[in-house]
Amino acid sequence: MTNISTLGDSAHRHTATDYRHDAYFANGWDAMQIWDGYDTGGRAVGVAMSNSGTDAFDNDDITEPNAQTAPLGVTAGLHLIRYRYLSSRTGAVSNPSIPIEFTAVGGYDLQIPVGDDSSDASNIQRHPTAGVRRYFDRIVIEMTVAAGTVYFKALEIDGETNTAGGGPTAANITLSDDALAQNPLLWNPGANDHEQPPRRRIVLSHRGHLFSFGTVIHNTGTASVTNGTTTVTLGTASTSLNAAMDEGGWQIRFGTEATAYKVASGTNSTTLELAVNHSGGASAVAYKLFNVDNSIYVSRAGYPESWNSSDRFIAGPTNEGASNLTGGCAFGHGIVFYGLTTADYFAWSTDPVTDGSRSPIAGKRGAVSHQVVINVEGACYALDRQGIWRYRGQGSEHLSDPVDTFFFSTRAGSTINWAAVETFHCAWHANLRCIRWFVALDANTVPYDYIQLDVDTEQWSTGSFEMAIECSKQIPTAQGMQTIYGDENGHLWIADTSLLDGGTSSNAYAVLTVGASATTTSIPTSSTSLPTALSGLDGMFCYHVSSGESRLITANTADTLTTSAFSTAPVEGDAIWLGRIVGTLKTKAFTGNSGPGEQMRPRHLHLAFEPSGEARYLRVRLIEDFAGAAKTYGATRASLTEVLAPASLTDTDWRPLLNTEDGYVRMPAGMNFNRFVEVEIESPEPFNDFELFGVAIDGVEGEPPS
Amino acid sequence: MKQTGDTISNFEGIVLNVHKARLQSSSFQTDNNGDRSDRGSWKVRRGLVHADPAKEGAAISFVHGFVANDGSYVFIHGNGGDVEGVADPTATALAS
Repeated sequence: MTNISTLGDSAHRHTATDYRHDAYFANGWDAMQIWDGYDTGGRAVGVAMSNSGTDAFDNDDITEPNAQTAPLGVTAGLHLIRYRYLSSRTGAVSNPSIPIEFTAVGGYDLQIPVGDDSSDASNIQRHPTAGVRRYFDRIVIEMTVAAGTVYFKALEIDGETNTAGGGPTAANITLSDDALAQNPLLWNPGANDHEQPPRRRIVLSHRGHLFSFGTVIHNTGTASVTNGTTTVTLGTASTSLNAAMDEGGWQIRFGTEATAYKVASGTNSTTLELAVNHSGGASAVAYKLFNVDNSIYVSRAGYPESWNSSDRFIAGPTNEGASNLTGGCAFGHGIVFYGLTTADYFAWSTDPVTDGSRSPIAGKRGAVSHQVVINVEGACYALDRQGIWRYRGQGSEHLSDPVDTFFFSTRAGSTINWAAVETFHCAWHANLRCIRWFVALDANTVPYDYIQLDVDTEQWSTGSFEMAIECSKQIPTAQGMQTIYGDENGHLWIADTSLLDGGTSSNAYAVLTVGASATTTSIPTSSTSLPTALSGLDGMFCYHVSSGESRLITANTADTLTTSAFSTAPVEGDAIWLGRIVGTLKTKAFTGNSGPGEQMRPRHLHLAFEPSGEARYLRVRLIEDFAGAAKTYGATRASLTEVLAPASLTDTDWRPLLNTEDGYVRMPAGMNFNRFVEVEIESPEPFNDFELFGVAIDGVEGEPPS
Repeated sequence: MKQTGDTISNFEGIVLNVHKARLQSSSFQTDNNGDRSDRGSWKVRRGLVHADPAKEGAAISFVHGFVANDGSYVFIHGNGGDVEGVADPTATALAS
């Protein structure tokens, strides 16, 4: 594992994309980073020309020492000369140095000293930072023909000193104008065409360009400013504060003041300067630093490390209710750009800056963040405050009707906590052919729950994990495309590949028996072969059946679990399940054939399923008239051969045996239900490999009692 | 009591959409941690395998994977103040 950046920041979550085998990641606060996949570290995208001072590159030390034989020899006349850095790895270049003028006598070579500093004697300066020189390891000297204004590539030399001989000490140009004119520049020639990218939150790769857009709010700690001054001091340092402020567009609002002040510049990691004096002063108050530049910036085509601050288009507002950009999703030959309540389809022919056009998508639909938009098989799906919708090229299609209660409900257990929206995310799960949107419910501030859309059937379902899943993405691996989850405890998981939540695909240790002398946090088990490789079972949850409690496993040996504390110590012989994956299916309501006005008296509940290979049980309960609790039976029921009856008068659950050979069980359901019956089927054990095919109820109906 | 004979409803069969009038008959039931196949069956969802990297010191804030120039599968992830790059996260986990 390689630490490729120390600019991680949980307050400003990164977005990432890749372009020609390099990953680019940005968070709107720190400089955009690039990593090639195997180097010892990442680096900032692009490079600044280090030698742009007026004294650094001049014509004082250019010499013409050697007469050349035609056709070689620089043509007589006034030439403009400049140089820039080039990465032999990616082809990226820097902005050029300032140009100098030199009048050649004709027929001679030109020699320009090359060195490691910006002294007058070293006219061409290798990049001063060794780590940057490793990437931008070439120097290209550009020159015009005599009396010309268009630059051509005159020479390329080694810019890295870590080479045989330590690199050249002089650039030696010998090309005549005829030869020079055969070497056009492959990159945009403008003086500012190869700047480093702006600090924006979202980086997106599409059609040879990188797009950078979306801003962040920085509000870590408190801020103080003295009345009548411009100096603001933040209580919590940030190494990127200075550079971020210097890029411009930032404003700061102290507490609930009616004025937001424009930021003039940054000074260091804790200090910035306002453009005007603050009126009134503030001492250690909450604040918001935000950027009002809602532009979309575009890299040069084919040059993802080359940006020009003028290459941008304004994002909005174009529609009523437009907000700052929240996300983007590549679609066909364009991109859907989302705000909170807007979505525009942006397409271009040859250059997004000059010939791009934008078409608002119908309806006040948008996306709450970049992490909740995804293109799956040619359609863009997005989650906003109204639900989940899709764009397939024309208009918006609302999809989440069956689960819209999550978006509008205030009922406990199904209310999305919009304050935690920055932690929401989604991913495509190819093996399940579904998209899962992870959302925080109720008082949760991170997502334990997800809403799932099966894209083929358009059926919706929900699910949850014991640990919060804070990010997810489908990524390429040697094992094919896999969906990776990152959780709140620092674990990385491969989704939906195991029979339980754990270290391997084996179920050998899924069901354990508690050994002697267990405590609330240390559980000896019947197994002697618990996995210890990787992180072992650290990060999994175990489920104590008799208490119904799940606890996080924090460490394990081959036979003992260390967990967060159970309420009471498990007793020897108790069952402990690893990776509790409880699944429940509650049907919609059954009614009598005559409709909901009738009373039902079911005789039997029938289940059809693919039998399990092991003796495991389901739990099946019946719910009347949408009650919160299942219905109990008025008399003790007798177990059948294939079904265990409710254990007591307060027990609601029948337990059909899943290894029944013909995959069919029927259980008595005989009691009256006034109008509606829901069947809830729970699969509580880990590694339950059954598949349910059918649920049916038979019985009689009649008028309900008056 | 009026007798109307046996009634049978099948799995899809929730006879009327009474919970929410606009529900379609093929749409949402309360399905927690289950997967629905295209033939309408239901099974409990599968679980997680631990990826190769050992536990990080902070919550994972983002992930991204790509194929490097040398053909190797790599991915990056954020945790706390660090961004880490990792060789194929499934090499050991799924091979076992």
